[in-house]
Amino acid sequence: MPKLKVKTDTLTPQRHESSDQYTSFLGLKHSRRGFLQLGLVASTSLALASNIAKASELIKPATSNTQSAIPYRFLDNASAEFFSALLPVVLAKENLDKSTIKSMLLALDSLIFHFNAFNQKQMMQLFEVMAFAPLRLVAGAPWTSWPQATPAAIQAFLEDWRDSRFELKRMGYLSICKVINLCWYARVESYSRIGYPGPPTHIPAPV
Amino acid sequence: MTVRNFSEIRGISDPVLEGINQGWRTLDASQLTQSQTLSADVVIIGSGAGGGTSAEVLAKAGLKVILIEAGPLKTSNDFDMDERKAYKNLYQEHAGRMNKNGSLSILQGRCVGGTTVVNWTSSFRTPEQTLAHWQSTYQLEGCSVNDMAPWFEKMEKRLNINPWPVPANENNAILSRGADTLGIPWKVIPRNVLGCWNLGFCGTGCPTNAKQSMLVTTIPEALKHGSQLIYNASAEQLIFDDKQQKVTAIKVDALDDSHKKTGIELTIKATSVVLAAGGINSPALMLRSKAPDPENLVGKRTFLHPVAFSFAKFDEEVNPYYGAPQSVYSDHYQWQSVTGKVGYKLEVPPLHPSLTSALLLGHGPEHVKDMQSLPNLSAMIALMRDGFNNESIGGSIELAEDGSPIIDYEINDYLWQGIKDAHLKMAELQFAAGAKAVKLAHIDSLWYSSWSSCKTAIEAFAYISCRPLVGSAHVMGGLAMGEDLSSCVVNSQGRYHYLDNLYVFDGSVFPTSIGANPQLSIYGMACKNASLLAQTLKQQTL
Repeated sequence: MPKLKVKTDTLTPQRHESSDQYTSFLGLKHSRRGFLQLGLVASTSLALASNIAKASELIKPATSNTQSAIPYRFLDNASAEFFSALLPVVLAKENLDKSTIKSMLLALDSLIFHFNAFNQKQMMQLFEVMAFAPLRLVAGAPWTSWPQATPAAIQAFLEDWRDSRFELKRMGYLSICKVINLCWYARVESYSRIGYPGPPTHIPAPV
Repeated sequence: MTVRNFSEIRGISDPVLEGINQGWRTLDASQLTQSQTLSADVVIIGSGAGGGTSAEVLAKAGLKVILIEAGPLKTSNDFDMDERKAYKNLYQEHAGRMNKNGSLSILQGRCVGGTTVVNWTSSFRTPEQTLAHWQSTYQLEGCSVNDMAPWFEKMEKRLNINPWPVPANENNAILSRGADTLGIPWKVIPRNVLGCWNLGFCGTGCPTNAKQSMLVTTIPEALKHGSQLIYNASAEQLIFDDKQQKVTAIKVDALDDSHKKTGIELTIKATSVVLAAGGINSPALMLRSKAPDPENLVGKRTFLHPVAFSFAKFDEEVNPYYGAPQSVYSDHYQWQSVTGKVGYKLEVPPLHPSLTSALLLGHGPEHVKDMQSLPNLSAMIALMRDGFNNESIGGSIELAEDGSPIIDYEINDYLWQGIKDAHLKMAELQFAAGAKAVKLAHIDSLWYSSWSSCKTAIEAFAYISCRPLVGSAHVMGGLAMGEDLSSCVVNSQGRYHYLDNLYVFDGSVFPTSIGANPQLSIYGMACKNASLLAQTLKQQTL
């Protein structure tokens, strides 16, 4: 797909307009405060929505047993589902096996767990938005739950955020891709696919 | 496919672990089960370039020194050149540190030895233009080129800093080749190494102890002179006397290996306190402690040398992950005007897979294809010299609810202009060096196969936040040094203007960015001011 140019003074192309206008209407204006802004809207909406949603379990994502068994320190089932859905699209790799996904989720968990409070909060707010269908719609992400989202829908979401005139969406896109790529290419298993011979073998000296 | 430059590293002794076995006084705060109170002549907060240097100077003067470090103690036996482990163990926020709006990624060390353990060894004296600017604008005294020369010389000897005598690796040679073709001057980078194997893994901790980081030089020397090193210990608060004139104690929290507080607290009492936690964490500690700051200057004017990146593809293999990571630079675009439009230094970054994947931006098949060309990739960086122009006021440090720092740094039009200019100049250099194609680290960028098509494309790029990649590996400012009280909080000898026994010996004292990789600037300034402090304290005890 051709790349879209972002101009601060012009609108992004037609297909992005509706969701951006909607977010603008909700107060997600171009802002230096990144996800804090998104989070303010998200948490207010969430507070309202979660009460309504609790009984219907609308907010509770469908999770498999294997995922809930992973000892996360930062992620929860919803954010794990979000990442699991994005991995094949961001990494252009279909059919990732379960153990690979699990090790990636653990790596992502460790990475975000070591962020400072502010960056953690930003990620948390992003995950809150991504976990709840009405907020996903507002944010221009797929309406369907993440496990049900098609690769095409995920691709459209990523491009929408990448090329948005809203800083917080562009930031979200960069952050999502950055953490996934950082973890993926740090894996020894990735070396051979990119022609990297790897570091020398290191044998520690006995002390 | 290429082969590894070295198959195996073995038989390298670990001087730090050996020293500890021989009785150096080290304390892993994560293992403490009881809170306690300690005392010393001087407590130093932070063990990087400033803290390490100060520890050696003060300990050798016969003072009782406690050196505390928030990060873990990792040594050459741990340094296995694996990005995954290194970023987790040795970097702030798992190498994921960002500014507030996500437009800037910051690489900063977090371990005993600080950033000196993971930097790429480039060692430059503070440029004369920078020293002159500090003197005229901030009334910094006693820091002229001549005043500083003996201190730089001393630290150059101490850390074996010499221009790299080995031919540059291909990644660096591309910069010098392009510069030669265009008639642009370039130079060889001085590096702080002794017996360097030319491996290329400076960024993940030197496995051969060739890099003369604080971990293997000044800190061991301080420990040999009876200093105590306490790691996994985060300084949370400075406690002041009733009159707010002196620091009486420091409250320190023990951290577990996940950086979380264990609940155990140390109280450290000292005659003098040296703050050396770097340009983000030093101001944050001052803000948390509500240190006297009548002009509201603490944590202001934070500078980062914002970095722009350009990638180039070559027919021949570059192997940008092997060999001394930085050995060639050009200051051609650095000093065309000291205070006018932003100047920048041109260098080269090493390209290891994980870091490179973040620098390349994006996702999907295109990103994968770029990653697959890694052996044939080269990259160039331009470090913006921020803080010299009135339009470049830097960032500020704020505190999150838990007291951890938030870096609010906005890249404004003044800096965007420099970043765009640097994109153009780097692409031109890469084509001049024979690049087959060039791609800027910018979401708008494709691969361009000619300089003219690349130039046209760059002219149309959007220079707004989170569109081009901007990085930083240099943290400066926040506790500016000088005699002008309307802009500075630390005097020319490194003492905090409003506290009698608090000294700041780290990168946070620089009133602007340096205009060069800052480690030697920090070493020289810390050595000078720590020596002066040692003299003062010795006189007091006589």
